[in-house]
Amino acid sequence: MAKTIYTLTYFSKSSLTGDIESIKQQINDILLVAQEKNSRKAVTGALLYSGGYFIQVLEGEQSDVEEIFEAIMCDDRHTDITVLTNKYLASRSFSKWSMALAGVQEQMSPRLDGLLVAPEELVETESGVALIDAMVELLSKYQSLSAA
Amino acid sequence: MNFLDCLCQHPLVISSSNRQLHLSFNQLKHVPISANLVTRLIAEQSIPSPVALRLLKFIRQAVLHNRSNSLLLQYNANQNKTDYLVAIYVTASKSYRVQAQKLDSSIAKITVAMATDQSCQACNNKSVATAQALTASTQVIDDNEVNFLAFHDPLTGLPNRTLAIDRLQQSIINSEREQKYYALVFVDVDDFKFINDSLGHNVGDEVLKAIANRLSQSVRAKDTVARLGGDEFLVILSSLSTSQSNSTLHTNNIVKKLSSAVKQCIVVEQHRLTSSVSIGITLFKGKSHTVKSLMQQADMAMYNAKGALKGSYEFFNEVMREKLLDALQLEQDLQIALNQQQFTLYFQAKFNDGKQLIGAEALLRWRHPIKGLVYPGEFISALENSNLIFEFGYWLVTKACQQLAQWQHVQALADINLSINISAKQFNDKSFSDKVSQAISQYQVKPGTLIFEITESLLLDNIDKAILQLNQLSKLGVKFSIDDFGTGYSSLLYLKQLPIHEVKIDRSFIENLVTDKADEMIAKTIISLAHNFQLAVVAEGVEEQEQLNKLVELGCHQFQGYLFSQALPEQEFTALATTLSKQHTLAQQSGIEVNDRQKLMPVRYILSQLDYWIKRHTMANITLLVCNIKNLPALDVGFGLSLMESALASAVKRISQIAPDNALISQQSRGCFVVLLPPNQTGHTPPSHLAQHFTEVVKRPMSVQGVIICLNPTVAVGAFPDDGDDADGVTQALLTKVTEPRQTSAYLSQVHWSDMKFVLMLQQAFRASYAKALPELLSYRSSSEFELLYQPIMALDSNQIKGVELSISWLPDGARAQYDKAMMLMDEMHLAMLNTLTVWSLYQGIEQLSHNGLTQLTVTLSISYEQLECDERFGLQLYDVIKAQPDTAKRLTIELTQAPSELSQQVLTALTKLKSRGVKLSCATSNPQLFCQRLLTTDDIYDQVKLTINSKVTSTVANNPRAELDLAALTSLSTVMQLARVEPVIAGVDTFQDSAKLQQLGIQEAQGRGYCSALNINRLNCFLSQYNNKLSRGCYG
Repeated sequence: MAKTIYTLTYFSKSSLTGDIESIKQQINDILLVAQEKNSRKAVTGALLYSGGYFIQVLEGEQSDVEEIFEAIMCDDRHTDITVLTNKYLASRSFSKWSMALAGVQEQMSPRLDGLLVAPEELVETESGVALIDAMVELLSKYQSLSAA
Repeated sequence: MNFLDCLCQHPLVISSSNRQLHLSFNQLKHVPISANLVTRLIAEQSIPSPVALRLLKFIRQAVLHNRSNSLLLQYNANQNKTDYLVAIYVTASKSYRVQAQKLDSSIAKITVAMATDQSCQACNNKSVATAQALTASTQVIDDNEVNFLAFHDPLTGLPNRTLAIDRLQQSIINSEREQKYYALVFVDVDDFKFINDSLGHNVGDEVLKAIANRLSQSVRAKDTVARLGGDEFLVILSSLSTSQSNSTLHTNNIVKKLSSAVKQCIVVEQHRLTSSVSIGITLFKGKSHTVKSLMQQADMAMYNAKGALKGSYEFFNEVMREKLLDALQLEQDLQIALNQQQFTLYFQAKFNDGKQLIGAEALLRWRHPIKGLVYPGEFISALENSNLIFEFGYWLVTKACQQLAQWQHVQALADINLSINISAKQFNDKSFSDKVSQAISQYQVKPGTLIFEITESLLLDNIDKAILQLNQLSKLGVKFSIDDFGTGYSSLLYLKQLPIHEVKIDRSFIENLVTDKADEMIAKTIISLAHNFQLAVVAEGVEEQEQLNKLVELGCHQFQGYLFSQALPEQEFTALATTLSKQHTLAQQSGIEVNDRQKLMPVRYILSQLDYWIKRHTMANITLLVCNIKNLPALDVGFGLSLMESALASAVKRISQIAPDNALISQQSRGCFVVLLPPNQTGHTPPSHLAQHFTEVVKRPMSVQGVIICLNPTVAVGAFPDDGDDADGVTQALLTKVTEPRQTSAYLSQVHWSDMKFVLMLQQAFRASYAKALPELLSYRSSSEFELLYQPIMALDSNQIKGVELSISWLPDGARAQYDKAMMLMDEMHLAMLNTLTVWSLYQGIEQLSHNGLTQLTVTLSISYEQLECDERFGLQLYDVIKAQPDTAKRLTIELTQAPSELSQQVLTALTKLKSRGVKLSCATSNPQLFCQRLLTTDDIYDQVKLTINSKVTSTVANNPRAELDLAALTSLSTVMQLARVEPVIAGVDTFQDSAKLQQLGIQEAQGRGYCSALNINRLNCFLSQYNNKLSRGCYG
């Protein structure tokens, strides 16, 4: 199968301030805007807020992903952005969500913590896949939690 | 009712019986009669004859200087074919002077008497109770009297200007013959206008008569007293003495006498008046003097006296001579400026209330080779006072037509009009309209697009000449605009009689429009007046939004001023128009946002705004930020042009998003952005934060064509400018900061303007040096300010010195200075200087080499693409030098730097011409990959390519990562060169040991510090003899 889906994952330091409830509210606002924008472009993905950092996965047509990524890069609500992976995949991992929330945690998730110790390793395919797997896992957990 | 209408309805009834003339001036009293009417009548009704013209001149003098109202008529007095020319000038409300002259040149002297309305049989308009008639009797006078009238002032009986000039001419000759000093004395009555205005013209006339009388009585019999016109008299003191000091003493005495005689009380009609005169004197002896120069000298001395103290006198002195010489020098410079096309036009946009560009006013600038850009205020009056104004006028009109024709090809400018400022003196030249017509048809100018702006006061003075031409030009489709409307003496009469399409409200009324009720009233009146006459009205000097709002409210719909745009050079104006037009179109189509690239403004526009803000808002928070993305070339080499372009587009987007909404952004050069934040009263971000923020955002990763890259910006910010700063200076200083190769820090925070002063000083010093050296540069002589340097070029196979590359070193005050840095601050002015220097260096280089017997060496001359592009004549000048040196041509290589992939037609033509003389053409590049691609895909004209490398080719990759890149570049370069049959030359070779490696790669020629630095001619000679000595001993085997 042709690898037509471009996926890009970055992590960044949040500039959001306030208690966890207010941050949740602000992230919800971000999501609403993102979902609206992304659905127009057929871009899907997931966002995770974890211990003052964002991790976001974007997937879709390369030009669409790049355009949305550029818009995110101009956003003042985060700094110190590092791109963790960018690659072409055969299929989407988050096809159901224009932008899913994979969780808002005050502390960094231990699983991610381990991954993020050496971000340069994420460029390696295995670590990159591991990160997406972790995100998918967190996502399903979070979704079932919020459904309940 | 105007006078002409009046005449038509109630013709001037004149009957003649024997020698009696009956003149009826119906309604004359109610009609303003002025000089233009006189000439209008002449123009429409008469044939000029020498006598008529003389009479006309006399009346015009009377009108202009005595402010009396006159009119001149020619009429057929009776059936016996004797045409009379009748001049009537009204000196006061009740007394008319009438002078009639037969066209067969005998003069009829007319005595004027008042008559009642009833005595005029033909006057049938009984309703005019105040109508008056004059009865005049004539008597024919003899030829002597004709002569007297022709050469004398009728009021005072003194010699007139014509005779005075003749006498002065005679005096110059006599002074030569007698070897004695003569004196020319200019006498000007102080505050005469005041007497005339307050007490009436008849009192004024009497005062003039009295003064004339006293002047005549105070001089010796052999002296001449003449009236030049108005309140100006001239005295020639004859045969004073052979010694200058005695003559001065003598003159002093006479002038004192003149002065005190005038100061005696004058009694006119019960008025006791005290008057005074200001006097200017110049002594002369010998035929070297001319009437013109003496008149200028005496005039200047008189103005100095009047300026110092009314009623005083002054001799023409050395200081004045210098001033006069300056004025003469200026006139000469202007002639050169015209011949050498040093004049250029800037364009200030005119907008409508929809903020759409509708036209432009062309504003004159003089690119003086030494003084830089000179504004018209400094030279326009000198231009107008010289005969150059005619030649200049044609140049201006032709240039404007040419510009309009060019704009036809630019969508945004195809429909705009162009105004040029025409001096009313132009109309003195009868062929003016023919020449305009010629230019219009040559460039196929659309009717209505060319507008002549005329200053109203000048129009008034030259109305007689102007009126016919104005009508003719109007038929050609030229429109007329009255400039500075409201400041002069415009009368409603013009608006009706002349083919005027537009009036401009002077900036002086706009300045305080919002605060000053009187100015508002004036603007309001002008606007409604214009509307009533169906004229367009343009407000000049609109600087504030409030002024614009007020003008719109008052019904003005066209504007010009800094609020919209300053005057811009042609290219920037075109760029601005195109940008605005795109924005306008997009703004009209709802839903489509103006994209980021279209938000970019021309750099010149931003700088002009900055300049303006600095002047207006001292100490305000103006911030200028320059952001240079340094790794674009690396991206180009590493990932290709298309990726680099996309990255650049994203950078544009990021910069426009993070800059505040009111920021003006432009791209100065590829990847180098200039961002200007307007004066901001509230919520100002500190400049250092701004720099940090810009750097941070631009540096963020970017996904381009599936590749993650990071841009590497260097940002410099300047804020809070001082009063004395100028936009060009501060921008250049910031640019220098961000483009410094060693500047690796991510951003530079606040740069103080004072730091930049250094850069400006360097620039000024360079200009001073250049000005000092100019005579030598232009005559190709050696100069103490600049020195030629030669860098040897090696032939790698034989280790012989094959040739030299020329470069220029700047030595202000004998010390080597940063020539490169001074030249880095490149603007058009610098390019012009660089061109002169380059031509000089080529000539000098050839000369010095042949003088030292080094004719076997090849010569490489490096020139930038911009140099050729900015001035067509530069290529021709090089060509001329080469043509004169046919032997050198075959040894010469012209090296083109900063050349784009496609050369403009002008540059291509210039280069082809140079090549036709056997000159080799080289392309200097730092990006060999792109160059190789170009060579393989396009039909290039280069014989050679020069690659500058930055590292030792032989050093290991571990020590110097650049080396690998260089090596790779070299390898591909040499392969492609062989394919394309272009010789590669390597520059920047740091060690001699690199030669072997280069040779392996098939490279034949190299230069660099590894072989030898650039040396002056003496040191080159030493180096060559030492080197050849060593070579012959086998040291470089």
